[in-house]
Amino acid sequence: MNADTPFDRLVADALSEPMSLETARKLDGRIAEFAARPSLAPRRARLAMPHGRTRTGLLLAAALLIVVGCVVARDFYGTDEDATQVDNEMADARAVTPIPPGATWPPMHAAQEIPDPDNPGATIGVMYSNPYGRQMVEMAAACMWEGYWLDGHNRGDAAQTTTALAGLEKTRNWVTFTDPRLTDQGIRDLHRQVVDGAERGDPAALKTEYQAMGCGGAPPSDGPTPSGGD
Amino acid sequence: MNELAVPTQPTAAARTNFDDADPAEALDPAAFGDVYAGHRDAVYLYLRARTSDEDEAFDLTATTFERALNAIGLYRPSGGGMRAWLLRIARNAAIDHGRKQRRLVRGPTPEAAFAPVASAEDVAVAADERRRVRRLVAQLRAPERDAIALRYAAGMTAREIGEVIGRSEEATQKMLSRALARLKEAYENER
Repeated sequence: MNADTPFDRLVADALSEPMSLETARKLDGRIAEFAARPSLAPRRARLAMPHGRTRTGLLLAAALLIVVGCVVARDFYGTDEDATQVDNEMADARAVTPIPPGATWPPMHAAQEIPDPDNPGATIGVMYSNPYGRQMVEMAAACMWEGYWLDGHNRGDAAQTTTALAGLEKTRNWVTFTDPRLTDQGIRDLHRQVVDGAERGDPAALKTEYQAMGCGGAPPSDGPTPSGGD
Repeated sequence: MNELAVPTQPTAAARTNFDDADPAEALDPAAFGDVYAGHRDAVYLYLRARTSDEDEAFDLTATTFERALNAIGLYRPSGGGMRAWLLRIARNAAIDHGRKQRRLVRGPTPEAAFAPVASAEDVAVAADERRRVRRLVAQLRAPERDAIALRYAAGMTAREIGEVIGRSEEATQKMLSRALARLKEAYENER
């Protein structure tokens, strides 16, 4: 096998591209946590349980920690969910996610099945990762606020751009645009530029993101209030 | 390194396999951090090449080291050494996972909704090319996919690959050549 052809080098580059630092950190953390399990650390000293009042206090504290742990665990991302769970998640998210005046939510449903690429005519099940539904809702709403701001900006409607800017400011704190577990740094940076630009009256970054998110084709230059993307 | 804490980067002193250690030390899970640090990237890159999915590769890499840690007391230096042992575990984990997932595919990630931004065009094109090659590798038949992934992602020689997949060095070399030719054909047909 000749290891020096351009194609060899392309394959080598593709397959040896390093994992991201974020992936490495997550992996290290997971393995460290697994390795620290008591059953895998037989040589570690085990603390003896005290007696009497101290023991009762510790047990109460442990019970409290378990309750707190359960509440925190509900916020843990990445668990698998099926299409019905995603639809429910989207319904919950729509109820608390603001959209521009007069706008309506586009139809949003998670696919239960998609065509099976290996078997023409057959379908295959789809699984999702929490919080996929919430992200879809936030992205659709961001599309609406961006379209609403652009529409007002293009028509010189100060009242509309002011309302739209207030809506865009809220998107800064949405998980889709803040949580590094959900979107990469480039997307988070771009969204900050979108809102910063809108504050200054500069639509450049906003137009870029509007198109990149597939918010419904070209940014509005005039016409009706946008209804957002699918 | 005597504690179970896992280093984020291999250290100069890290022992990358247990093959030169005496058998008594090889049974000690407390030194597992060195094994993990020395082989983490090779295992991950192999699994990413095999699955063409970074999330799956992450989970399978974690599963591989979890299984290895549970079984480290059973490891004995042999042909291919620690790396071949870990990659055999990785390969089996990927096969098990493939069986479970046969009727399920993962939905698109929200990030997939973002098209590449024009200002990063060159970077995006190169990244697309690498992703395309990884996707084509993942579409090869299982033995060829393993051979290519072990060669280019884990950096193994034909003899070492043979230790993992259970073939002779000569047979592995032939399979590598065939797999590479098939991969190149698929790549050119897509252009």
